[in-house]
Amino acid sequence: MLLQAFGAVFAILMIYITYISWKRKELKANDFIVWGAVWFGFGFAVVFPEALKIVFKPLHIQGALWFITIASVIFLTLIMFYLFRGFRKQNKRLENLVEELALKELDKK
Amino acid sequence: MIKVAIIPCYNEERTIIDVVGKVKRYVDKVIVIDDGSKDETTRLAREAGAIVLRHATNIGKGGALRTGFRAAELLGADAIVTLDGDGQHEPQEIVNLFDGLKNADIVIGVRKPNERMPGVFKLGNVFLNALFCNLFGLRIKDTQSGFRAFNECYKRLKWGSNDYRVETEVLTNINKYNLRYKEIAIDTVYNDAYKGTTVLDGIRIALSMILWRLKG
Repeated sequence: MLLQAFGAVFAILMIYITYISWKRKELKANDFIVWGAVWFGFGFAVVFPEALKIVFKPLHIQGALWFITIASVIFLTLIMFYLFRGFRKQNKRLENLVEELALKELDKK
Repeated sequence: MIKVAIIPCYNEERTIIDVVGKVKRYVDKVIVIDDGSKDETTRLAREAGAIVLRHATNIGKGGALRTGFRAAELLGADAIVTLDGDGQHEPQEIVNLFDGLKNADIVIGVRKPNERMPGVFKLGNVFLNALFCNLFGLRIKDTQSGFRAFNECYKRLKWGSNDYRVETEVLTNINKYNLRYKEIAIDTVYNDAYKGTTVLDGIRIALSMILWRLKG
């Protein structure tokens, strides 16, 4: 029961932080929807673990803990890939910018 | 024929005046790429008479060389020579490298065996040269040497590496564009054992070689 309460508070807090980030334009509308859904899903799974049984049976998942573990690994891998891709993209942009700025010095001479 | 020297640098205030001063005698223009140094490299290289292009932040030797090659092209260079800013290459050997371009597109300075070269570097070089030979079919004695001369083929060369892998990746262009290469023995002076490539760089170079080979 204590764990469920903690999970629910955590989910509400994260939904609030996500909402504030969206309002401050730190997140785009689709980011807000995706992250809001993630935190809502997490909160729902923690508060109503029994309701998830409908999903577990056809997927041959043994329980809520299994489900959360599998979903977390998939989610973290996805986030890692997304961050890696973003990092590479930003790095390339930075390289191009630095090289172009350096070459502009040549134009001045 | 306009000859240009490209010197990528990172924190080379101790040696850059001397290097630029000597290199100037053998080329028409000297381009120093200061790759985001935290010391006085830019000011000193400029005072020594080089055209200095400064990277706002450190990108790596590959990035610095890319800027240098593009600058040389903008300056209308017909032939270029690349060398390190730490003074490990002897500028008087630039003449021999340019001479070699009479019957080659790329002239590679091959470092003579040197007692001051750390043992792990020697072993690493032997391994990397052998791997390069096996993967690309080119028997190059010093794939990691940064002292090289290029004729106008330099305009076609492409590489994506920003770090020390650039030396090897540039050589993969030999097969791609069917370039003629020549090797000339050069002397090297080791001033700082803590600069340059590390064992980790060696591993990355080896893994990248396999990747470049697979990519074709």
